[in-house]
Amino acid sequence: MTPTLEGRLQTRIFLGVTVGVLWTAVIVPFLPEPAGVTLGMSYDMAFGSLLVMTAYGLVWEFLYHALQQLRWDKDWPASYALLAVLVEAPLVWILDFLFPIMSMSGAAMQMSGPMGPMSGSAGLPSPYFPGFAIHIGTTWALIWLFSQGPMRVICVRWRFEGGRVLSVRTAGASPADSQPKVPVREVNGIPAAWLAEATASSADAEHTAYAVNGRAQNGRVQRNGSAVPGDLVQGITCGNGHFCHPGLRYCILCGLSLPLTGMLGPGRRPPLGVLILADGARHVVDHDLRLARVEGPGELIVGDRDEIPAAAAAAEIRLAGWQAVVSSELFRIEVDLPGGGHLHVVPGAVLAELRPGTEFTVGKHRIRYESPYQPTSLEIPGHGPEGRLGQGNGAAASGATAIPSIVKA
Amino acid sequence: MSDLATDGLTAALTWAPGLDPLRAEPAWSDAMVAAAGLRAKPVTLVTVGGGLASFAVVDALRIRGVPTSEIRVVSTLLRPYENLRHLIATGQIQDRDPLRSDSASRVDNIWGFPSYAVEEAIRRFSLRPLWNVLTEPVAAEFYNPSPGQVFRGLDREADRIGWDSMLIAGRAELVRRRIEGGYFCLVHPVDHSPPYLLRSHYMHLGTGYPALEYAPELTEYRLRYQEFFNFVNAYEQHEHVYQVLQRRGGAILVRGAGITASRVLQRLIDDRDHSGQDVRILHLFHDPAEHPPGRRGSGPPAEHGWRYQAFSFPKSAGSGQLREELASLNSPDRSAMIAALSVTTTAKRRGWQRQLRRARSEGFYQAISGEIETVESSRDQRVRLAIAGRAGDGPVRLDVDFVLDCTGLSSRLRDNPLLADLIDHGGAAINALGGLDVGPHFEVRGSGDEAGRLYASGIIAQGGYLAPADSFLGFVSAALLICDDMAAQRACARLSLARSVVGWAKWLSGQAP
Repeated sequence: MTPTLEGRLQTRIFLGVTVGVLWTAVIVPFLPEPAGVTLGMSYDMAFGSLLVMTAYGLVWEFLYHALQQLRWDKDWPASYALLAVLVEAPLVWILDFLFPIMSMSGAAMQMSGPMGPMSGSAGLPSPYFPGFAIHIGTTWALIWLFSQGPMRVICVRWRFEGGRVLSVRTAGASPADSQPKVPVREVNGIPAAWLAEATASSADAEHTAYAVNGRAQNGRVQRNGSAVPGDLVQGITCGNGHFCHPGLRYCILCGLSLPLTGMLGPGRRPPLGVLILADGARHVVDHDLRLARVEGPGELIVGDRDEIPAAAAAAEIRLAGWQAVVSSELFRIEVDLPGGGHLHVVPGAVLAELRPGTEFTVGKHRIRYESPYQPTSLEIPGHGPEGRLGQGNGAAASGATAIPSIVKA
Repeated sequence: MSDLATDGLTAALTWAPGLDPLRAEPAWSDAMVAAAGLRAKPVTLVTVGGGLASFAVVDALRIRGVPTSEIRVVSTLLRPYENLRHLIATGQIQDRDPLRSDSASRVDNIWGFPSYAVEEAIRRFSLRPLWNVLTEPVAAEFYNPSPGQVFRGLDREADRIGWDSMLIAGRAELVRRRIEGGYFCLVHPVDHSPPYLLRSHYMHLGTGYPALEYAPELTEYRLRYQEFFNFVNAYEQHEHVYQVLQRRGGAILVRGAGITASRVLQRLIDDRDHSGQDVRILHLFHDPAEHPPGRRGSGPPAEHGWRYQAFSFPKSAGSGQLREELASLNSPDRSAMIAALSVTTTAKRRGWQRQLRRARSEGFYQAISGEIETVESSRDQRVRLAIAGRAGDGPVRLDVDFVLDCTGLSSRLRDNPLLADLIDHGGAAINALGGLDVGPHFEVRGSGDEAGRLYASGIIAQGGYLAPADSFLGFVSAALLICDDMAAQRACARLSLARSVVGWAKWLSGQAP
C-alpha cells in the first residue's frame, strides 16, 4: 500500500480502534505490572497509552507524509512504518508518565497511590516500563502486521486508494477535450570522444559494397545477385499484407499481431532459420542445403544442394513447407532436442525434424538450428512433406510426426 | 471446433450466413440480427482477449457470485498468461528470473494477500522472502515474483473459477452495440468454422498490445534485404544471436533503455563470461538520461544513460498520491502527466549494476547516444549502421554482427482491427496517449451507455485514470472498478466486507467461489 495523507490518517484511526483496542483488551491481564496495580488501573493505563499513540500518531503522520515527498516514488516502505515505533513510543512514554496531565484519561488521573510517585521516575528502571514496552511493542507489531495483509481482505479497496478506509467514489467523468502535445524527447548527440573511436574502427573501404537483395553467405553472392524466392507455402497475412508463418503471434516484418484464425493462403516462404556451426559460422536456411567435409581447417562447409554433389555430402538439410529436416546417408546423427530428449538417427532413409534450439552432431561436427518458427499444430493442407521427402528413398516420413528408426535414448 | 466451446454454449451460438449486410451497420437490433438468420442467447459479460486483463475481470466477477454460464471469454489463448509467457521468454526472462512487479500485485488474488513473498516463504520454508519484503526498498531491492510463481498461481486460480468452461476459442472480429441495450460480438472460431454471434449486457475488452514495436527501419531492412537474422527485435525469437556470439564473439548493438535491454545485456555478458569469447556491446540510447543521480528532482534517478525506477511507474501512481493527483486532473493534463511519468526506465538491480560497471571498466561495453539513420545488410553477414548524433556531427558508420532492438511493444490501437472498427463505427474515442478514452470505471466513452456497458482495461486503456494500466496491479484495480460499476447496475453483487472475507477464505482453501 502506498499511502496518501488522508489514507494515513484514516488507517491510523481505524487500526487503532480495531486491532489496537482488541489487542489491548486481550494483552493487559498478562502485562507485568508493579505490585499494587489493579487490573482496572492497568487497563486504564494501557488504553491511555493507546489513545495517546493514536492521537499523537495523527500528528506524526503529517511528518511522515512530508518525508514521503522526498522520495521519487512517493511511497513509504514497510520497514519505515514498522520502525516508526522507535520514535513514537518514547513520546508516548514521556507523555504518559512524565506529563500524565496531558494524556491520561480521567480515571487514571484520579489514581493516587501508584501514579503519584510515578511522575518524575519515568526512566527505564521504572517498574511500569516492562508492561508499557510489551503493550506498545506488541500492539504496534500487530497493527503493522495487520496492515501488511489482512487489512486488504477486510477492505479490498484500501490498498488501491492510498490507505483510505472510507472508500471514495472516483470523481465523475471529465469530458475528453482538446488533446495536449505529448512532450517530445530531445535527441542527444554521440560523445565526441567516442565518435573518433567508432569512425576509426569502422571506416573500412572493404565494406562499401553491399549485397543489396543478395543472399550473401560467406562472401558468396547467390545467383545473379538477386534473392531466390522461397518455396510456395501456406501461411497467413498480416494487416499490412506481409506473409507469415501460420503459428506466429506477431508479423515477422512489421510486428503486427496476427490472428490465429486468419485465412491460410499461399505465399513465398521467408528464410526459415539459421544453422550455427561450432565455430559460430552461420548459414541461413532458406532452401535445401548440403553439409560437406573438406580437408584442412574449416572442416565443414554448408552449401546449396545443387552445388555440393550428393556423394560429398555428409548431411542434408531439406525444407518441407515450414519445416526443416536433417538426414544423412553416411553418418549417424545425434539429435539433442530443445528442452531435453535425445534421438539417434541411423544413416540412410530417415529424417529428423529440426525444431528451434535443436543441436545435432554429424560425424564430429556439432550444429545448432535456430528459427523464429515453432512447429504449429495447424494443418497445412497440400504442403505436407510427402511430396518431396518421400522421393528416392521411399520413406513415408512426415516431418512433424513419423520419424522411423529412431531410438529414444 | 474445440470442445472448449461446445458444452452449454450451442444455444448462444448460431451459424451466421447473412452477416455481410450487418457489417455496414454501426448498431444492430434484434430484428436485424434475426433477419440475417441469427439468434444469440444473452450472457452477462463477454470479455475479448483472454489475457490477464480479461482474467482479472472474470475473477472479480466470479468472486462476486456471477456463475460461469453468464461469462464468456473470447480468446485465442489457452491459458491467460500464454502470450505474456511468450513475450517475457523472448525478452530473456527465464521462469525463475525476477519480474518487474511487486509482492502484493497478484492477478490471481484480488486481495494481494497472502502475497507472493509469503507464498514463497511457506513453499520454501524460508524467512528470506519475508525479510526481503520487510526491508524493501531501503536495505534490499524490491521483492519480485518469478514468472513460474505467477503462472502457477494463475493456473490454480483459473482452475478454481472454471476459466476453461468460459473460454471460447476464437477471435472477435466486431463488437457492435445492440439497439435494445448491450452488445453483440462476432466471433471467428480458431478452427475456421463459420463465425457466430455472442450477445451480452456488458462487454469487456482486454486485447493487449496490438503489435510488437518494430522500428520502421527494421521493417524496411527486412523487406529490402530479405534478411531476418542479423537485425532483430527483442520480443521475437532471437536465440541464434546468443548462440553465434557464444561461439565466435562479435560486435552487437543493443538499442533501448528499458528493462528488456537490461535483461538482454545480462544475457550477453553472462554468455560472454561463460564462453570467454570476445563479445563487444554497443548500447545505443535514444535519449540518454544525464541529470545527476539522486532520489529527488523532476525525474527518476538517472546514471550512465539509464533512468532507474523499480517499476514502470512510480510506486504511488498505482495506489498513492500520484494516483489521486492523476484522477483529479482533466483528460489532457492527465495524459501529459502520464506521458511525463512513463519515460522508459529500468530497475536498479545490484547484479546488473555490478555487471555493467565491470563491462565498462573492461571496455567491452560502450554506451552511445543517437538515432539510427540507415541500416544496411553488408555482404559478410554483418549490419552496417549510420548513427546520427548531435546536429553538426556527421553520422557515425558502424559495422556490427547483430542489432538487437529492445524498444518495446506498440500500443497503436488501430493495429487491432477490432479496435479500429470500434473507433470508426462504435463511437469510441482515443485519448492523447493513444489509449481508448475510458471513464473512472474503465467504461469506454462514447460507446453508448443506456443499458449495458463497454469496458476496456490493460494497455488499450492507457492514459486514463490509472497510469499503470498495463501492470498486474493495474489489471486488478481496473477489474475492481469495473465490477463496482456493474454492481451499481445490479449486474453482480457488491463486494461487501462479508463477501470479501468469505471469498478470501474460499480462495485460501481452494474452493470454487
